[in-house]
Amino acid sequence: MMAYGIRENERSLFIYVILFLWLGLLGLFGAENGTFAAAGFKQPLLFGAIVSFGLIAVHLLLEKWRFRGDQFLFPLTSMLSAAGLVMILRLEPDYAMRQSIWLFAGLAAFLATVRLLQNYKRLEDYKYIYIFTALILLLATILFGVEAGGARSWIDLGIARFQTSEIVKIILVIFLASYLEEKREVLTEGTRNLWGIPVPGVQYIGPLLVMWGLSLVLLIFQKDLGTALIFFGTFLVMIYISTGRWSYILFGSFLFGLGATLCYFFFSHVRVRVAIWLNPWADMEGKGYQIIQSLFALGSGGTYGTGIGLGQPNLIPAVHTDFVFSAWSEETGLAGAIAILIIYCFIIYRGFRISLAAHTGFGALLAAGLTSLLAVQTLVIVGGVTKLLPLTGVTLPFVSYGGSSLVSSYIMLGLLMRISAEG
Amino acid sequence: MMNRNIVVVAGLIMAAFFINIVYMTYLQVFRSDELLNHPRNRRLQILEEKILRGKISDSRDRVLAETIISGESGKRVYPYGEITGNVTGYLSRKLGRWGLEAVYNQELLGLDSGLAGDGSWALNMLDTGKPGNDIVLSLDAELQKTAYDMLGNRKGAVVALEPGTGRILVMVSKPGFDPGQIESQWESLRIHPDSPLLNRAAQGLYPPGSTMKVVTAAGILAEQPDTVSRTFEAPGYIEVEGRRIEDRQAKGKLSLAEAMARSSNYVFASLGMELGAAKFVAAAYSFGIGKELPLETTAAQSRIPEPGEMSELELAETAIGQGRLLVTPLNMAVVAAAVANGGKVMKPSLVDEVRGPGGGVIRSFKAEQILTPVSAETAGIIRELMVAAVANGTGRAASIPGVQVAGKTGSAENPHGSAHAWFIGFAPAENSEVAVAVIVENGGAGGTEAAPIAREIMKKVIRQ
Repeated sequence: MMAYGIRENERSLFIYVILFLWLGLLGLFGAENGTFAAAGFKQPLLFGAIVSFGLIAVHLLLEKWRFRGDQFLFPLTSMLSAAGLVMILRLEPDYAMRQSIWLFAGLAAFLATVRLLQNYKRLEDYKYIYIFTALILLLATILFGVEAGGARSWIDLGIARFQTSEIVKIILVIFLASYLEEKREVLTEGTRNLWGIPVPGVQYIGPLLVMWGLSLVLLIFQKDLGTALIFFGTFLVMIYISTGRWSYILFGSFLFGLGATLCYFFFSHVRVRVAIWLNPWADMEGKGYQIIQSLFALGSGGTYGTGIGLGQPNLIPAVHTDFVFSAWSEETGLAGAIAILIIYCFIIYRGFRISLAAHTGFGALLAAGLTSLLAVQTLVIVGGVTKLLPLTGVTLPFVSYGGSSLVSSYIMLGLLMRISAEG
Repeated sequence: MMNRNIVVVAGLIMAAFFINIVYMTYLQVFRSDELLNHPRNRRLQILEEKILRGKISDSRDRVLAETIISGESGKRVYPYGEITGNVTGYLSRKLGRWGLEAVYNQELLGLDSGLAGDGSWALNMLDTGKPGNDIVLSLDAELQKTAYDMLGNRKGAVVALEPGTGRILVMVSKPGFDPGQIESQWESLRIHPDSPLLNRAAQGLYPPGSTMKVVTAAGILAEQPDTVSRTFEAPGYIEVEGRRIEDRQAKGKLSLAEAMARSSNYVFASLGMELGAAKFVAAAYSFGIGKELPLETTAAQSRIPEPGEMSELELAETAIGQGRLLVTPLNMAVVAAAVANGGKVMKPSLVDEVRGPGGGVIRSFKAEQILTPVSAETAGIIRELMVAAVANGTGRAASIPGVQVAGKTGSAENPHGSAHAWFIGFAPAENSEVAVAVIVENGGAGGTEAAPIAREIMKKVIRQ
């Protein structure tokens, strides 16, 4: 026992994660769900054992390395992944094994980040390499990408598909953190007044325009409204944190609004998205079908939900990727939905705590940027499936089915924990 | 400096999450019922196909609707077919639900066990073997059949209810439809000129003709109790604003009782005008005419013009049941029941009990007074007038040997051909067991066409 003193909080929290996972699996056994019964008993049991083993092993490794980083983040994200795995096992049993392999890939990426990036501050030195890489990746996707679910965001690597925007978004946050840290003072000084409205000087809005352009490229060429929204939202948050100037936010939002308006008039797929958002009931059996099915799932779940395995979330098309939150909310009700949202709030809270405690401006910006990225992405998809925002096909971090998303989420977790371990 | 910015951003993000939580609450709590019951939400349908839907039976355990399992799927059968189709309603995957099948859908599926208001619980009951609840009606299917058969090939409606409780014993609409054949016959039923899909008893709107004189009498007696001892000199017609309303059957010196017995248009049109539009319409409202009358299934609201919109002529016409006044047969049965029950209107109802699959009573109907149009005293006077109308007036065909019957006939002129034959009444006059309203469309005189049907129903209820 003495050997395991460092991460005691994490260990005690882990009891609940494992309990949660197995209770979820147990619920599925009780449910006599048709799709699940077909898979038999063996697979879920094996599945539960492997996942429990993987999660515990990561904790033990962190303990063994005497890693002094945050003790709350990993149990929280594990909780989310456990919920995601149970839901995927329930929704698409055939995908569950693949998802657990992705989880292991994510955990490996997480451990690698924590272990190999002992001095994360060195990330600051290669900022132009990042932006270059990001642009190459995006360009490659546009040129060689394959389309899935209406968005052209994947590169086919033969054995698996890889969603470039998932890795690009991390690279971008690292780039922005180093760029903004370097230019912080200049950016803060350089504002003028234009008819009483503070406007950043022309020479300082260059990066703003680059980010704007990048988002529009995503929007136009990849038809990926969600990722564009996440990129730009994260960017605005980071520039505000580094400068404290609302003028950047105002100007940036204006630019984004302008771009979005132009796209609305030039591209029919954007118009369709907006029309569905405003009134999906008008085309209930056609374009509005998916979001309406999601609303039905949420409403039918009510306060306490139907119980895991007892609802009918399979009525929603693509439920295991974009709509896993709707499925979860149908079967666990408002209570379960709020629980998940609160877990995200805790993660975000810890993320900003790490940012506040960081020793360098770069560390603080990086932590805040990663946290904001996570928050914006969660808000965009949760808002999307509840029709609070236009629906965009982004994943729910740590929960949705999807390898690229899971791996990138765990890399972000690794970075956050690395920053928290400094000093 | 940067720390402050981080706190601001964290606060904003938390606020956004809070908004999301509030919105989720709105969707999952406040819009839950609406979304769960939305016709395009297939969840309830999926559930329904797994649940053995409960029976609908009459007060004597005769089955009106039940689901019989044949092989994999269940088939809904309606043993009384078109006789009770207007009450049970129908159930079809293609056409949806209507009637009691629609109103009591949740109960019949067993999804209502005290968990209303939260849709999640409904889905939680996904217990494939468990049958739904049964609905027991106040209806008497054999009485219903008697009324249905007596209408023969005439169109019309019959309503009979218990004055003291409001329990509906008969609710016939003819022509009817067979809910078991609804899908195959839908098109022809829909375009049929006699509208068999309309539940005439509760949704049909007709001029009440002279049966309205009961309401007019109630209005004037409540206002001027001494009217009962007045005598009238009836000239055989009445002229209002240059229009002459004929009244040949009641000429000469008439007491109020004689005026009612011989259905004097002169006397009741005059009394209506004496009462004035405002008080007359208020009297009609007090019987539920022009007001919403509650019922488990779809019911139309009787229509009476606003007092301000009525000319003197229209007031005179309305007082004798013509003009723009339109009532449902159910409403006229309620008028008769109000007089029978000492001036108290009980809420009309079709459903007695909801029983669980084991037969235990889950919910039972309680009699509820909804209106008090007249005092017990005034009701007593009107009853005597109605007794006279059956004993030696137009309603003789309703009399039953050994039982005092109260009633009023009507022949309502209408633009669709001969007059509608009406009879409303109750028996026995004291401590009534049953109140009825009968309408035979374009049947002519109420005394010969409608009264015999009412008589048969009242006789059967009393003999039981």
